[in-house]
Amino acid sequence: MHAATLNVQWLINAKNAYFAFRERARSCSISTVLLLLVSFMIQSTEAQTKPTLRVATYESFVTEWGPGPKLKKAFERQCNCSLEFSTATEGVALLNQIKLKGEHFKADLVLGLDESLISEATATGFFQPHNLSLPPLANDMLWKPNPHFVPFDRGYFAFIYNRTKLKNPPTSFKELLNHPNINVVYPDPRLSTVGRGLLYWMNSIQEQETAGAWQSLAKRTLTVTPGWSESYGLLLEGEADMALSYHTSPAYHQIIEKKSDYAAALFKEGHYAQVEIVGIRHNTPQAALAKTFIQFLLTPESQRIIALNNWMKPVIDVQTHPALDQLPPPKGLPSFEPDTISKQKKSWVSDWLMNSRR
Amino acid sequence: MRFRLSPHDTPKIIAWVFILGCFLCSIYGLVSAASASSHHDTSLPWQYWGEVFSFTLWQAFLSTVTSFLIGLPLAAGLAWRFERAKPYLLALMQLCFVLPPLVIVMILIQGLGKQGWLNSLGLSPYGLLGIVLGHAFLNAPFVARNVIQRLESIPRTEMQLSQHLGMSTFAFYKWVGLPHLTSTLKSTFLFVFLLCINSFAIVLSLGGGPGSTTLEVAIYQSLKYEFNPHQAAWLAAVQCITTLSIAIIMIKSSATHPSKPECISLGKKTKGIHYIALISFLLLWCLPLCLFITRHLTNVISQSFWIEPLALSLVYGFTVTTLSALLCFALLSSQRAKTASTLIANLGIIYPTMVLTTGLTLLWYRSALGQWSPLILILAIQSLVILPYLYRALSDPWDRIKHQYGPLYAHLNMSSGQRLRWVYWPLIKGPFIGSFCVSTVLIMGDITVPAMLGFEHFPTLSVSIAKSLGAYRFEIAYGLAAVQLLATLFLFSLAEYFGRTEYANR
Repeated sequence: MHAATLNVQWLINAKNAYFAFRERARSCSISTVLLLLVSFMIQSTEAQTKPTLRVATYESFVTEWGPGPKLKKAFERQCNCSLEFSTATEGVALLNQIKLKGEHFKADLVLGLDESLISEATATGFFQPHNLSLPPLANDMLWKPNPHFVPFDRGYFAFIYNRTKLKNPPTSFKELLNHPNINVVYPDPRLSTVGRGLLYWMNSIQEQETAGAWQSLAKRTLTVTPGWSESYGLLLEGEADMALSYHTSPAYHQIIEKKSDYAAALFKEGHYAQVEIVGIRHNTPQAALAKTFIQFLLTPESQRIIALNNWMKPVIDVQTHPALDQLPPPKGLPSFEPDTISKQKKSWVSDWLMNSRR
Repeated sequence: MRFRLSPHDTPKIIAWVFILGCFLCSIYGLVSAASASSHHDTSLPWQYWGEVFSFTLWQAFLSTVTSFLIGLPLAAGLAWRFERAKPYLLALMQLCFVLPPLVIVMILIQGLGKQGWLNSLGLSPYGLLGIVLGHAFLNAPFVARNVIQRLESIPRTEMQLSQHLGMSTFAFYKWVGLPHLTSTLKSTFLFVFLLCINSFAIVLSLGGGPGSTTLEVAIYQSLKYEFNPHQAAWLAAVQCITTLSIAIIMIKSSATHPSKPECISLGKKTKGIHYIALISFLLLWCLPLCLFITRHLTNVISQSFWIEPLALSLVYGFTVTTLSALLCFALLSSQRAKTASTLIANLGIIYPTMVLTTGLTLLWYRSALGQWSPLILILAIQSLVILPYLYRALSDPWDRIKHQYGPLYAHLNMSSGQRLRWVYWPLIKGPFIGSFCVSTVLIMGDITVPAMLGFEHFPTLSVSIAKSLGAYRFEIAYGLAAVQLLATLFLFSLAEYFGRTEYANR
């Protein structure tokens, strides 16, 4: 009997404790919700006072090693606004997302398309004329002013090799094509921006004679990889003698890894350049802020940040780092007109495809 | 015959509507974009597409045959042996099956490349040989695993009879093993064949050039670079017809006779040949993996940046797999129109993922939904992609339970909920947790859907790997890949452990 009373008492105690706990939990949750609401309201009023500039770019631009975070910090310090990045895998994926998502593509500014995509990008109707007067660009830059887009960095396509392993690199494209002992890797022109660069480079050197050149290159090719990283990985692993990349790649190894093993093979015929561009959305409410950001991108400070974190050359004359500034300059080849590219691209790809099969 | 709906069919019908709805929407999205797009031509000759088609089938055939040539002796060597080590061996076998392609490429190159330790064999890991070896590396353990499981489920009585009759090994496989294995062999062959047709990263990385273009690669190319939905649509149609016909044959051939798996020890002495099988497996598969892990794990282990993507990958994988498992259970819930259900479950492997993603994304962003985050879309796509794997793993045990306990619960007049709670769940828990882990791993390693929809929605490990590669951080990327491998290994050991204990308790 006594045990039973005890049990009942214990049950009552437990029940009371439970109700008290529930009450406390409830008041806790109510206060949490209230707190959240208040903080949300504060945040939204803050957002109202501070405009946000949404920048769409490619992934490697905003990684912790990329220029994105540093640019954001520097720009937010002076603009009284907040900068927000959204990303696609790379430049072409950015353009595809614009085509896929149309007006739902959330960006005021698109950063990271390249010169060869100008015609296609303009045709989407997504961009507005920037009407900006640009600072004087670098002397060796062959840029034709465009109403919609502004260049922010550049690099020449080049084959990178390991100096310790390849003692006598070819000095011309022709020599590479006829070299018996060299194997090269490059990304697929159908799938990668760098690979597409090879297509333009080859067509700009060879003009009419590309078929034979592709056939010779196929004999030198170890493999064609889906993206730049697999190609470059094969070079670093020592599998391939040369990999297609940018002439600025060796600067990364020198500055970050303190290694001077890697170098770009400079070819007599010249090198094709990739110029990366930025453009403003046609109906953005933040057009003025977007223009300020573009001007900010072309300041010496930002150009230095971009060059030393994106591993490309600045578009204005500015000192960055001796390792990057003192890279031997390649001979530049004139870029194709955007219209020529959009007309010829398909036949160039099929030309490569039909002549590169072994 | 009149088709009458019963309340039991409701979950199944919901699943059908959801899955078919997604695929039809994707087709609609793609076709409407194709008819609106400007370029309808393809500048490539028909002969080229013919070659692409025949190469797709040829490499898939060679890869599958090679996987079988390696997988079958491995299975024969390891079945009924090494009971203690088996869960780990089976986990390792699955590991190969879901390795990230980058890792496979790196391992193959470590082994067979210029600097590799198998270079003396004079094999080059590029071109058709590279593709076939890459696929064999992935799929041979998968074949072995399936065959081992089937062999070990041969009834005890038949095994004992064959022992009493003093059958030789050859005679045993011919008269006892083969009749049991036929359906498993056929369906595994076709499944691996389908996987090799759909394979993408291996073909691209080890193919050696545009000579090794497959349909999947061509579809990727037309969507990613040219944004030519028209070309993608007809290529997808060709691929779908091919894979659909294979899948139908597969489904017809996999009508298995349910039997209860029994782990029995025959008390035979473990012969030298079995040790050879074990050692060659360890050397050829495990050693390269261990080398990869030990070589690269040290790059990241002292830092903490891998913890967040790992945790997010797991959360993300679990969410998608739960959704997919719900679909799977709904499809399995009633026996009606079973073949159709199986076909619907397998749509994820018949229909190219790239096309599914593009079609649905096009439709999503051209509708009012476009202003919302595409998270729901991503979850739906991924759950459809892993559904074939889950369904494959669960439908067999489900049927077996149905076969064994069906009359009993019908007699006891149990409701669907009660059946699930008291009959199915205790018995299916093992395979369920197992396939749950496998699917989580598949989702963790996927990069197709993130590449299409933008990386900001996917802070997972495989995306982190891609990011660090893009920023020249190769060592970090390999380190992250090693973390992913270890996580995968852990999940698989978990899967095997649960699978095993369930069987052991029976």
